[in-house]
Order: sequence, then structure tokens, then C-alpha cells
Amino acid sequence: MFGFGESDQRELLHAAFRYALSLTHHPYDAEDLVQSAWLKLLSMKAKIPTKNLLFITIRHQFFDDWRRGKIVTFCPLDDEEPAGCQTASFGMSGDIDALLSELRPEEREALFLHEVEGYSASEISRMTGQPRGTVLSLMHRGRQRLLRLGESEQKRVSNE
Amino acid sequence: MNSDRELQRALKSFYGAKSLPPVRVDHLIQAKTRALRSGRRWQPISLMTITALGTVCTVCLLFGLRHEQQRATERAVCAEVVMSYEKHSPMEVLSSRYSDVQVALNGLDFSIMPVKATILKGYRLVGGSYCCIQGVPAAHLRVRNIHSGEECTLYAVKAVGTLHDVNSTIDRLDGVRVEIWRQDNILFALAERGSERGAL
Repeated sequence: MFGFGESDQRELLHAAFRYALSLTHHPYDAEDLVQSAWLKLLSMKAKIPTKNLLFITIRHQFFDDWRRGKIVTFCPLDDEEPAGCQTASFGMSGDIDALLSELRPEEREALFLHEVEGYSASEISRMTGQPRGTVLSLMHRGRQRLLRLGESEQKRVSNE
Repeated sequence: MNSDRELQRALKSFYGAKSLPPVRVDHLIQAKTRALRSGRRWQPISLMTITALGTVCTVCLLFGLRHEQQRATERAVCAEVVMSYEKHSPMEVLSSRYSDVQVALNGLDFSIMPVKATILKGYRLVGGSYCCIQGVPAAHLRVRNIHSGEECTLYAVKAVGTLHDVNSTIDRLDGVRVEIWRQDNILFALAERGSERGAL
């Protein structure tokens, strides 16, 4: 139906979740964001949205909520670590999850769209409604901060 | 962190490992199915549809009003014809020839002679006088039914003003049968008591 099989829909939802995660950097918030955007689009169009439309809706929803102060990042107090807090190796000893948390949502978003999803700066510019120069700057600054933070983390680990 | 490539690999690895929990995915896919089922019923009506419906309703309303107005005029003409028929007004000119009556009623700027064969052959002219229908000057012609011998009245009036929209019709009022028909822009009305057959 509409050229979307169930596996395509699942993949679309996973991609949307990863994108939402790049914005919120919190898995529960990302789940809520995807669900909210998905249901909103279905109620409006009653058909499977395209990836770009779903991403844009997630983005708008995120920044609307953010401005209203609804998204509050928190860490669970119990020992069980949620999926989003799992770490991934970066470089020699870097914790990419912790490093990404130091970035602004716009920087994480630009890096995610470019490095993971493979969008060009122009495509990101069109999708996010930001000038291409701003997107390039966000990508550059995000990358530099990650590299800098990673290096300092490496030094700290080696000193210990 | 050594290079951009390593960073890219790390980001891909980090985000690639993330996925929406299966329970949530199933829930959203089911929500989609429900939305697709109900979507057809609850789709908002487009502005174009509303405009089209509004236009159709307006046209129907105007058409209905116009038709009702036309029927009201026809009924008014019938009532006036019957009332005039009942009066049995005296004739100003007595003649069995339409041309004579036409000359006598020279104030009328239209032909009072019907072209219908049923009228010309079935009714014989007796005479005529002036009258008025709905405020329009008209010819009041007395004719005799050749078959029954009964006197009837035939009216001829120019279809102007409110009479413009009156069409051919047959009506019955107080036992008088009134048959109205158009001959170009002239309206004719035959009033006859108890007749069942038409002139047309």
C-alpha cells in the first residue's frame, strides 16, 4: 500500500528515531518525539509520510517543545542503563555518547544528517531552513568540538 | 580521536546501533493502519468542494424561487382570466372575423388572431373588447364552441412584464378550465366551463 511495505515502515521509524535521538540525545524523549510526529502526520494525511517530511515534522516538534521547555534531559537513578546511555568506542578511549551530549542539538543534528544519513550541506540547509553557511559552520564546529573533547578525554585516560 | 574519518565511523556506529523499541514500532504501525481505515471517513472537506456545493445549492435555490414565482404568476393570470370570464362583460365589437375585431381594437399593437387550428376550427368568434391582464392591455374575445355551442372567452395579451415568464399551462378554477399557451410573444388564454379537452 502506497509503495511502503511493513519493513520499509519499520526502517523509516528507526531512521526517524535516530534522527530524533540526534536532537534530544535522550532515547525516551526521542521515542516520544517520533510517536508524536508520526501520529500527527497520519492524522493529517492518513498515509505514510516521506522520510524528509517525517524528519521535518520531528524537527519542528522538537524545537517547539524545546522552546516551551518541555524537554528536560534526565539520567535514571537506578543501575539499569537505558539504551541511549550505552557507550560507543570513539578513538582510543572516547565515549562518543558522553561527547555528543556536550554538543548543541543543532550541531548534533547537522553532524548526524551529514555523517550518518549522508545528506549534503545544501540538502540539510533545505530541510532545516537554515542558510548553507550556517549548516557548514555547525558541522565544522561540532566536529571540532568532538575532536577536541575526544583528545582531552584521551589525555585524561592516559594520565590516569 | 584521530581524524574526521574515525569520527564519521564512530558516529555511524553509535547511531547505527540505535533503534526504536519493537513494541513502540508495532504500536505506531498499528496506529497507521487505524488512521488509514478511518482517514477516508474523516478527511476534511476541501474548500473547492464546499464552494461547489454552495454554488449548486444557490443555483437550485434561485431556480426553485424563480419556478415558484413563475407558478404564482400563472395562478394569478388564471384567477384573473376566470374572474373576467365570470363577469360576462359586453362586447365592444361583434364580428365573426378576427380582422374586424383587430381593426376595432386598434389600441392593441399585436395580432389577436390565434394560429392554432383547434381554436380556429373548433371555436367561432363572436366579438371582442378591451380588457386588462396583470396590468397589461389585452383583447377579450368571445368565442363559441362549435361542438357544444357554449360561449367561452379567449384572451390575447402581449407577454411583457410579469407575463414574460408565463409558460403554457392548464389549470382549473371554480369549475372553469383555463388553458394558457404562447404564440411567439403573445399569450393566449382560453376559459371554458366544464370542458375536458384542450385547445393545444
